[in-house]
Amino acid sequence: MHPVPMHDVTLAGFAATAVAAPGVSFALLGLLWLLGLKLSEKFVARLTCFTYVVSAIGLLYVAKGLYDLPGHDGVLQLGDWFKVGEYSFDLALHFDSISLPLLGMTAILTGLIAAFSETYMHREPGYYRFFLLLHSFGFGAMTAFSAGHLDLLVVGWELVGLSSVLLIAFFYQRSGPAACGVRVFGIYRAADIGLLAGVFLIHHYRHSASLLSIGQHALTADQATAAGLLLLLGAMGKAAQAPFSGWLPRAMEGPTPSSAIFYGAISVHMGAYLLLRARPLLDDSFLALGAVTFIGVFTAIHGVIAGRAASDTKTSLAYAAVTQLGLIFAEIGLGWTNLALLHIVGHSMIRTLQFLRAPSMLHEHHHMRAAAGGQVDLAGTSIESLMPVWLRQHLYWYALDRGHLDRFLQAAFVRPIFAVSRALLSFDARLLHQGPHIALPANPKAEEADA
Amino acid sequence: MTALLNTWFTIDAFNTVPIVLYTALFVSALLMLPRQDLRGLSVKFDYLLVFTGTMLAYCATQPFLIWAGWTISAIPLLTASHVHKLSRATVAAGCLALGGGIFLLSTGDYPEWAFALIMLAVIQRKGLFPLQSWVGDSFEHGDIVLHGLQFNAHLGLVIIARIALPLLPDLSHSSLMILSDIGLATAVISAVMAVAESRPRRVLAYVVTSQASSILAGLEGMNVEAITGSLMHWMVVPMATTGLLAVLRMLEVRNGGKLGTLQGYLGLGGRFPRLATFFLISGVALVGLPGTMGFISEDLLMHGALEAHPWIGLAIPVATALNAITIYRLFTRLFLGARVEALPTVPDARLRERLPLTAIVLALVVFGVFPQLAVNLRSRAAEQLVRAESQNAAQAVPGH
Repeated sequence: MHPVPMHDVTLAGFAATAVAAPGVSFALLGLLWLLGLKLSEKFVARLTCFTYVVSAIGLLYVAKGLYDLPGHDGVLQLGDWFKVGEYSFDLALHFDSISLPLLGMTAILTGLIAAFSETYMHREPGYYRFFLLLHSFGFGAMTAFSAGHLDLLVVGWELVGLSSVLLIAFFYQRSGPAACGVRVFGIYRAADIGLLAGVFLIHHYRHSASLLSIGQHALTADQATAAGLLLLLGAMGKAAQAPFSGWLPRAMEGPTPSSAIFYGAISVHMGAYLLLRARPLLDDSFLALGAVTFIGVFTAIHGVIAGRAASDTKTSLAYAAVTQLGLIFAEIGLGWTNLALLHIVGHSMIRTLQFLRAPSMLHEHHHMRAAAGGQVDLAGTSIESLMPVWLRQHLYWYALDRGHLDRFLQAAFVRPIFAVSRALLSFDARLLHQGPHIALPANPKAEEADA
Repeated sequence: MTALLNTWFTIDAFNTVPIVLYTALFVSALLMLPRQDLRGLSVKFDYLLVFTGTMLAYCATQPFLIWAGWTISAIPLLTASHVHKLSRATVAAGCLALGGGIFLLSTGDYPEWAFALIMLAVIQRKGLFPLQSWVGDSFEHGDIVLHGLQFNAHLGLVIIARIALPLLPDLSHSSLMILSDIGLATAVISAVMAVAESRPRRVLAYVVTSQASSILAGLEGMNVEAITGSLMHWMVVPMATTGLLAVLRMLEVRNGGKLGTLQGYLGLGGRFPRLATFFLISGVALVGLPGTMGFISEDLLMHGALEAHPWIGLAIPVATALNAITIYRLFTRLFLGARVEALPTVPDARLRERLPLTAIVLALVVFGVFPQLAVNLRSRAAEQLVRAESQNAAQAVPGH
């Protein structure tokens, strides 16, 4: 059934306000910073909480309004963002049973994170920057989840990616977060090639990238395979699926509240959301569906093994998230979309809570230990004890090196690109007779590792 | 006299925006440049030559006047002693090729040779592969802001619009496709070159060359969307590049000299947060991330190029992705890391630096959020170009 246009002015107003509220707060805070005004911590935190309360109320009203619509599926046309010739970029927001749960989850969790961060980030030098980026992230997520067509989804998707990377490098005076930020950005951008190419390929085939235009049998099997696999590449990058899983533990360099909302809840699930949206298209391609399922299952197993050798809480949680994300991908591949949606919401909630509790975990463990009289039974060793020693050793080696996946990416992509780049630079230098003056990196391996 | 001026010069939909934009960028650059960079009469004269030559080429309708503007704007590079002689020879060859092409065109003989020479000049001036070395060399050893302005005049596009399309209709149709393919190849090659480069000036040279080459991708589609994308990208690249190069030069002056090879993190962000912000927004706009005008132009370009040739058009996302990684990496190397205490106490962006940079960044963001005005400004020129090209294509079909 086609979505019903949302003509009711009040309903449309609530829907637009819910999505735009974080963007307005971001613009306001950004403008005030540019003007050199200093705002108190309390004002910034209160504004943030107010923003997400407004969003949540707006979404509740939209949910109530959609309940009365046939098919519980509505689309809000806000006009063209820009138009040239026969091409127009229309601002269409789509509210249905897939987008509303995720929009609601974004509003509630981001608001909770803002409330938590008011205390957690107190007197942090980058307090203002944190909230500014949180709004940029919230707006990106709201835009992506409510997008009525894939072009608009790309806008939100990229905003979320950029905010994530800037928050990973939040503690910028240490080189570790800066290097991790570059690495995560590299994976995001590489995978985004797939998303962009997939979206434009759908445009090429259908002359539209509206979510309605990618319904079942809209494309031939070959076209669906090409577009589906490209979209899958984009989804894999965002959802830390193998072989891109290595970025998720590195992303934990950012402040804990941002780790919780980005990598426990919203950002990592955007890949699964994209596949849920592209599901009718995937149905036309056995190969694409098989690839989604295989990657999901492989990632889930990889996450379980690699997480066993994680030496800190946030890395363990990151690999636990990788496992669940793999399972969600597998569910989508197998056609269990309702289960996948439920899994996304449930996983987001529990993982956010776990991330937020991570900094106080040791403290709580000490309490538990004291309460138990100094003896706490260790858990999690039973499965390993059932395996032969040689297998345990191999799996331990696999887990320690995080499945050799980073090494694979380095060998398959980073090193060849660097090699070609150096060859071109050295050709350029020879051409200008600059010979040894050319500043090729003193330590190429370190450069590559950093990249 | 007025009639003569009207015959020789024009202000139309094609050149109005470049004239206004280039003048604004030129004034901005002069305002925010470190005073030591403008010391001496010869330096001021160089800036004057670049501006005069570019304006002449933008406004002229006669091929020989366009050539004069092209050559005048190239003089500072031709006479720059610190730039490698091969780079100067390449630029000189470009001037000669354009002059030769226009001369052959005026005689009416050998139109193929005339067209080949003109295209050679375009390839040289746009820094397309394999004639791209002079851009990196001039950015590295010359006055980076001056040569940035010179490169960002994008006179190659003026030649295509004012000479190739109207005067060589039989040849331009298929050749523009080849030129577009060379542009796409250059976009990828320059983006790859920037990956292993560690000198900031060179990194920016390669990224700017790559992004500027994408402008030609619009020729691939030759539809209004793609050409509007190209013309908008022609606005984005100079604005973003001027912002990036100016910030880099400000950092160099504050550092007491060129930043050399970046092997670690300089940590300048703690000292200069506003410069870091200007650099980041300009960089993000250059590589076409949302919220900036770069996203709009890239979106139109990709739609146009991919619509016409899906697999060739893939070069743009690949090049843009690599450039985005490189720019972010350069940002981290310059601004992130432990705060440098050894630097003498120098202020963050001064008022005369802050105002032009704010104007550039605001233009990039405002036209990125509310793009229709900028799209309208360029779509009329795009429609004219597409109309001219389709007439050429119709003439090129035998018996039409």
